[in-house]
Amino acid sequence: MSAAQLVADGIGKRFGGLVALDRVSFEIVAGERIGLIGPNGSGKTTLLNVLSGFYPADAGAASFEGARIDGQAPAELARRGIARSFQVTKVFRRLSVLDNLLVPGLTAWRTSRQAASARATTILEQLELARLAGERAAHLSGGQAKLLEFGRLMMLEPRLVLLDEPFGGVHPDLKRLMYDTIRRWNAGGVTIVLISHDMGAIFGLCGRVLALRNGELIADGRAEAVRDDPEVLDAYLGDHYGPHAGEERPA
Amino acid sequence: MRRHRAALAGAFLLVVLLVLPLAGLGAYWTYILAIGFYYAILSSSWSLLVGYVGRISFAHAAFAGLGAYTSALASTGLGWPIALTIPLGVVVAALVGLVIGRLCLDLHGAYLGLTTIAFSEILRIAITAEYDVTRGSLGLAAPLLFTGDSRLPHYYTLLAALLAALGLMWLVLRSRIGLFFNAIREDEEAAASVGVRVARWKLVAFTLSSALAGLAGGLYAHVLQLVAPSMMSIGEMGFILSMAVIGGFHNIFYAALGGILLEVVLEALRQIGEWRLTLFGLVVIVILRYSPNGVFGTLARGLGLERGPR
Repeated sequence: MSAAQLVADGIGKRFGGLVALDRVSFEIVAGERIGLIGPNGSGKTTLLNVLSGFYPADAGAASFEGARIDGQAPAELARRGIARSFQVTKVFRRLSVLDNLLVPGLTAWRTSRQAASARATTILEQLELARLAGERAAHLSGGQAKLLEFGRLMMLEPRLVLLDEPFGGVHPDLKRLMYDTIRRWNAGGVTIVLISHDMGAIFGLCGRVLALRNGELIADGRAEAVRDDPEVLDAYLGDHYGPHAGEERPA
Repeated sequence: MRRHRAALAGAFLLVVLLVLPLAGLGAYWTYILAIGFYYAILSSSWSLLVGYVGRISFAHAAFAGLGAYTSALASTGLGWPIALTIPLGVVVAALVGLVIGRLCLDLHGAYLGLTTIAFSEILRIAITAEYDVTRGSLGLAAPLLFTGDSRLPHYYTLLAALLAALGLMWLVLRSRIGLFFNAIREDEEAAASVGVRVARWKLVAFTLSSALAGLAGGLYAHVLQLVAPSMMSIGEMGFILSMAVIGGFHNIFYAALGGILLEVVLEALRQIGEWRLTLFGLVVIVILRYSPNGVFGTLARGLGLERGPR
């Protein structure tokens, strides 16, 4: 058994003829902040789906805190401390903001409704959503819904948080609130894996970066080192900053 | 305050239903109301699945038939007392519900709907075909629940069963399980991602809903004294669906009231024959389009018994 919290060992995933993940291996130590980058279609979300139980892996193995997680159901992994968000926000639209937090809060049978409500109220205050507690989640703005999703994850008291593009279309003020939340999580020892196309967010928040291209892990290291890696530059930043920037590409 | 008024309205309705047969309602309408309670159990337990968990089923009438045939066959064929055969029907409906649920609850939308229709038709046709056991479309005679001239014991038994079914569902729905049901209806993946065991709770809902349909069917068999495959038909299922939708399928109590209301309307409009079903179909369409909370949901909101808008 290794000292790592999360171990991915040769994870492979195919969709028909498409290789979405190709023997991806890495280890993450508890408390790290990891940025996961790569162009669209490089396999970031697929990797996250495998690690959170939404996809079975076709090859390889993943373990969390020493126990296998590949092939486990999402709900079981959530209960074991792995929380994830979705690229497209998924709140329970016809439930109240408070009930959205009570769902994860009550999945542990030993937690009383009273205790879960108290905790949810504290979290809503931190996220500046307290005055909306009785409102239907469908009435929230896009950014508020993202925050609510964060709040739902906080209710799980996770030890590993997987965030899929949490900042897309979010107002800078709310974004700052989300940054603070992520930092506070991490300060409490929670491991963060962040998928984002927002390089400012990645390099501002993450000490280590994994880069994917066509399902392959092409770089893994300190954020600055990965940023300057020529292969990453070519794969990821090439469209905008690389040698071919601005050129028309054949369709 | 709002909750008190809703409870008060419910208590008033209950008193009315308790007193009506004693206050000169007459044997005929007492019987009709009793049948209305049968439908109320079906429409409310169907709405548990559709309105709360967000899963459609067209097999609810078939589960009622399963309970009815089980109880009728066990009482006439094996000579068991009705007090045992009705619970047996509940158990059989629950077990079959568990298996069917297990098989098809990963399906969604049209696939789930079509699968439940197929199951329902398989069961109905098998029972029709198995003449030696079930007497096919002639129907099977079942002993009467309470012998004697008075219809009253049947009326009160069905009312008690309805109250018990509603009470049980209400207890489940107001617990954290009800919250999990709603979360699954809203977004299954999100629910799973925060630790809700989606497959388990869907199965619980499907099994509970099927068991209650089995209970209704069992009682019905011994009140009507006859079970026939027609009680499992798609037409009958459409009738249950209409009751839930017209009453308001987001709430088990409104769906139950829809069951009672439609059975009464069905009898009151007897002279227009099959046109009644056409009428119900039209009303369902209008309600789904303009008033998805149903007649009683809209009424409750209008009277300030419930918070709107949904």
